[in-house]
Amino acid sequence: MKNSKTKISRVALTGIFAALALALSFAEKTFLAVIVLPMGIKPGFSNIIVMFSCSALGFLPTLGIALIKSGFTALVSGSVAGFISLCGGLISVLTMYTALKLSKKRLSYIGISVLGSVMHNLGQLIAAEIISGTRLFTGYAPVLLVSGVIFGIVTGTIMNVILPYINKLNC
Amino acid sequence: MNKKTFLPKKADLIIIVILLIVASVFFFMRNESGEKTVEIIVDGNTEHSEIITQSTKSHTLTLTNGVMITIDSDGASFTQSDCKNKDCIKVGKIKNAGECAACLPNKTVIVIKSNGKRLTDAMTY
Repeated sequence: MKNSKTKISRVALTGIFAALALALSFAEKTFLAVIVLPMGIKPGFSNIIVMFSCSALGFLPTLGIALIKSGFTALVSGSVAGFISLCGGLISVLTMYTALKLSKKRLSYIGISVLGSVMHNLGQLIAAEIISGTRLFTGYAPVLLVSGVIFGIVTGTIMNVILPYINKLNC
Repeated sequence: MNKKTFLPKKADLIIIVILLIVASVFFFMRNESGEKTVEIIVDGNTEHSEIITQSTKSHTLTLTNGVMITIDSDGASFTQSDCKNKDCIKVGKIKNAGECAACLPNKTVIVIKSNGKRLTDAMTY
């Protein structure tokens, strides 16, 4: 990412990443129509893009990607789903960016992605509690934590594997 | 370039272990014994509450917001809703105490509560 310092290329990359994140979550939805996971669990592959954008573009562009993503969700599946997606997205971007900055390379993308997806789930659960006005936390927490850890490991490993190749591209 | 970059680092493993421990704490905090009560909560208010036993027959309730919920001897599930993504129906039947299913566009939640004591309490003497 050597030339990504100019403003224009950063704007262009943010757009490309946002499009990629949307495409991945759409692909994931199609893929989930075939393999049904229990209790509304999703792998969250678009997190790969968000995570990469955190390290390559910085905080604000990634926040923009999260906003575009939840705006798209609001258009496609309604404002309630959009609000839930927004809460999850914002908390996970905040967590992953902070983890990236604070860990100073002690964490690989696996740890960052696990933290991000667990906090994403937590944010969504908080949003669901706000909307429904009911306490859902204790019953659902184990499911959210374990699925967040499992799919965090999956997306983090994918990220760790593809990152060297992306860096070679030098775009 | 280091070929093992895709493997987790030590700090990653520490985070994973901590989160799994927290998850298991919540898992064992669940209160599963005793009678199960199905509660239907709409917009924060309990609309319907029913104790389910072995002899509970399968029946379907229609709420004022059009959501249909089926309750039988071992749990409850959303069977019909006018929401867009139908996640509430896809979740399926909830069976254990502490579990919940929600249809957020309709602000409707089904929770199974247990009024029994914990198993460990039954063993004290």
